[in-house]
Amino acid sequence: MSREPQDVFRKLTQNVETVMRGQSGAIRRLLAAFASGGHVLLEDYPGTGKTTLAKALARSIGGRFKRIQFTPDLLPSDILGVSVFDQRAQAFHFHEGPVFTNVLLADEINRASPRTQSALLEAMAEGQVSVEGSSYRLAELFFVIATQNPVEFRGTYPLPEAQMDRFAVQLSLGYVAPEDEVAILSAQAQRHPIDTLAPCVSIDDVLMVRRRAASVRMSDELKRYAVDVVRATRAANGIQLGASPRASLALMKAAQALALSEGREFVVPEDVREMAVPVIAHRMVVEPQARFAGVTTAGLVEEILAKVPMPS
Amino acid sequence: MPVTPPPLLLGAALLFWGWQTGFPFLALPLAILIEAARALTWRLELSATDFHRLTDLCTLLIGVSGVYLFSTTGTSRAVDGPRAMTLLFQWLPFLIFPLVAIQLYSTAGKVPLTAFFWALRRQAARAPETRPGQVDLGYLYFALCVLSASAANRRTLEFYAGLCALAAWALWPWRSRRFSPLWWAPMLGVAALAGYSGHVALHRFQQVVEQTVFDYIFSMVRGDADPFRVTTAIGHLGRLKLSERTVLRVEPREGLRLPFLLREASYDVYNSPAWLASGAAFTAVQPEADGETWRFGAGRSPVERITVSAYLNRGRGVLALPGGAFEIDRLAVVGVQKNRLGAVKVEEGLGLVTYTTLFTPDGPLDAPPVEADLQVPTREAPLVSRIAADLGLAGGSPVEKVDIIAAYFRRNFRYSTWKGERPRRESALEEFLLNSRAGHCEYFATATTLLLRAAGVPARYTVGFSVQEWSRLEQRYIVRARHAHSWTLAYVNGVWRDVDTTPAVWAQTEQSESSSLEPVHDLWSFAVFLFSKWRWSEDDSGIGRHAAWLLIPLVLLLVWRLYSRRRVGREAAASRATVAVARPGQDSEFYLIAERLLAAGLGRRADESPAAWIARIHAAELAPILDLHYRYRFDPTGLDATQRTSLRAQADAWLHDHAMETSVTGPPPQAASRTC
Repeated sequence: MSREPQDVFRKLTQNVETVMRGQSGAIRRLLAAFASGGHVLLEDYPGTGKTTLAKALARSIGGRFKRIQFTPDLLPSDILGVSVFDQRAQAFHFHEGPVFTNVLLADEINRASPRTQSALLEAMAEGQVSVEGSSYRLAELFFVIATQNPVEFRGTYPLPEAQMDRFAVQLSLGYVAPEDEVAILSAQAQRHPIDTLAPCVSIDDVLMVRRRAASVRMSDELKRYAVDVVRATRAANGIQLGASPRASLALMKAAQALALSEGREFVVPEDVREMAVPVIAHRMVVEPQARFAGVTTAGLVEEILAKVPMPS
Repeated sequence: MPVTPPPLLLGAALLFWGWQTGFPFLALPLAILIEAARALTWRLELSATDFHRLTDLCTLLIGVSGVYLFSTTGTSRAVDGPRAMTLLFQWLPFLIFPLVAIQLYSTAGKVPLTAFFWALRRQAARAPETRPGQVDLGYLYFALCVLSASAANRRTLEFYAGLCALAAWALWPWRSRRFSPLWWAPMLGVAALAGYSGHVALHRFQQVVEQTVFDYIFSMVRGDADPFRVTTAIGHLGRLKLSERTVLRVEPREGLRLPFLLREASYDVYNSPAWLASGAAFTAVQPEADGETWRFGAGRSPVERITVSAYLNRGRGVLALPGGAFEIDRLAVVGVQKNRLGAVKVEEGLGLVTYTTLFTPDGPLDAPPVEADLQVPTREAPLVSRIAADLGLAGGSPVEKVDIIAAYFRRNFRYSTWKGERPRRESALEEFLLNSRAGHCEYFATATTLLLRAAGVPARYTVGFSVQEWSRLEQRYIVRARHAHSWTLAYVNGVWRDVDTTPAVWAQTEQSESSSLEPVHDLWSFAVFLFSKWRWSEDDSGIGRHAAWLLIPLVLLLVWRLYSRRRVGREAAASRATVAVARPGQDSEFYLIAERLLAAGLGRRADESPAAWIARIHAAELAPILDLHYRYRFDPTGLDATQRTSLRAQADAWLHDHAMETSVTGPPPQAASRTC
């Protein structure tokens, strides 16, 4: 079944929107990140629909879907898998963990210890897992969608910077408009609509979209614009750690995917601009003093966007 | 919006500055140099370090100029000129010029902020990744030129007119495009007129307030005013003795007999315990053609001369002159005044003056005696008459009378600075003459003056200094504050003569009471004197003049360093930029639409994306044009011929439809947006 990428985007959007109301912007950016081949981190206050959104997207794709509820006592082997001694064969057999899947929902990822969080590093970056000296390839479509509460909340371990950098995009949902909230109440009066959610796209569709996204054209001028924005984060005041070159790469890919979702075959400046905050902000570390002064990474990126001249 | 000044504005501001401050011939080349940057194609490739050096040089220039100005003109009002601070302010456009010129001739076109702040430089050194902010000095320099021009304080209408013209020039690129220049110009004129009338009104108001306050205060104090006090304001009777401070320096001269008396002022009315000067209003003395020679009258030979250095307190002071002075040479001050009692004061001068006084025995400075010079106050008259009678002063020539009185004091009196408790019923003078027979110079001088008057010889009480100490350190005579002295002027044979009856031991007595730290004080005092002498540029070999020349090699060195920098062509630099990042589609017709909308006051904000912009101004019909424009600009494959034609056609159609948008009285933004 061959489809146009835009159809895939439209179907996914429709499917997810049956569950998530009033979050079209977040869904649009989430799908762009998904199509760009990156992983997504959803961070927001409890009860804003992070898990619902993650589940909705996972269920919309007709592939394997696993969910890990991160808890403080979770171990790396609980994620990656473990070798078990087979009495009959007198040998160790690798027992695959939940990471061997197409879509992995890592719920409340910052509730596990950094050691466990780090177990995902290799999987997310390289699509493989090394356990006890052996490497195991993950599926071609491997997509991690993680949720977390804001770090200041009790019982959380902040994700290491290296781990944050592995997420292509971090999104916040925020509270929806009152009328949307009313609609949510009505929709969930009997049962949660997610229970009836069915897959609407296949893995092949997703892989096709990813390939097409990678071939979306981006002019040198816009690449330079993206790099200028990312570089500016390294020189911003009150910043301990700026965004890495991986951020530039992720920004380009996200902009390409966003352009594709719009049906364009080339990137326009607005694409770069729209994806800049979700792609860059979570990779930066603010100096403690600036943080106490109310400086946020998202605010800094917004400032940079206002400063760096946008090609027009 | 433009951040660089419009063409010729900086040049005009510099010329305006030169015209106002009197440096037109300096301003002209500077203006040409600045404006030539627009015509010349080459640019200097400068690093932040170069800018740092240049800023440091400018700072150095300002510092050295400040020191030079303060040392030559002083903080107080100099001779007929503005203060050093004002002068320095006037010089600023010249002193900062190198930085501005280099900015204009550099490829960067701006000056990094690190050039101005050490903290930023350190920060930049710590984190070389960071790109410090940059500043365009164009408008700042323009403002500085105008401000410095105002420091010349010409207060003419031409200044205000020039200022308004320059301001209009500077504001022209910033005007709102929504209104026609035909509106803009009269509005600016109204603002200028309002500014002028406001200034005049404020000035009037200040005058009224000042006058009112003056009248009020005058009405309060008028009842208590003592007109006599005014005439004695120069009184030095109370001068503290025993201070070691060196107040005068007298250049050595052949035939100078010690002690030599230098008089400051004379008084004619005794009102115990004060001597007062009656009818001693000051009259101005007109200088000779050279402005430094002041003549009081003609002197007869033999003419003697003496050179004295003295400090002036805030440019004012009473000069110490030898008796019989008739001319003062090399006195560079603004105004000299004298009174009939021979006091000469300076109204406005430098902190240190060195002047040569020419004098003869019968100099014209002191007016001939009048009735007051023979008056003995009623209170002292019986006592003085009795002593005069005892001394047999009724007959004999004035010379003999002077000798008799001098001998009387020499034989019967001694010098003492100690003063016992005064008996109640006698005056201090009575106590001195009849009982203690000991006192200091003021007693001797007062008693002598009154005795001479009782004997029929006109006499005045005089204060001044006695020159008596040779300084081996300075190789000249020095006069300390404790050498202040008082004596009598007696009119003998038509000439005013100094009569000093104080026993000569007074100098030794006071010397013995001097501090053991005196040599240290003297050394310090000499150093201060030498510095003051240099500061006030007494001689033409002042270091200040040479210091300016020292700057020339520094400037040459910097120019050479800058010149040896790689110079690149402006076009070359620009083309390299395009090589780094290709920017296709620059000829897109969408830019014409953007310009048209900008002119209509609907321009895109700097941080706004074009799509958001056309959404904001409700110009939905621009969306297809923007689509094509985006494809032309940002799609690496570009537009095919049909699409290119379509873009051009659609844009032209839009421009044609909206030709009226730029009309002079175009509709306000909301109305315009609805028509879009």
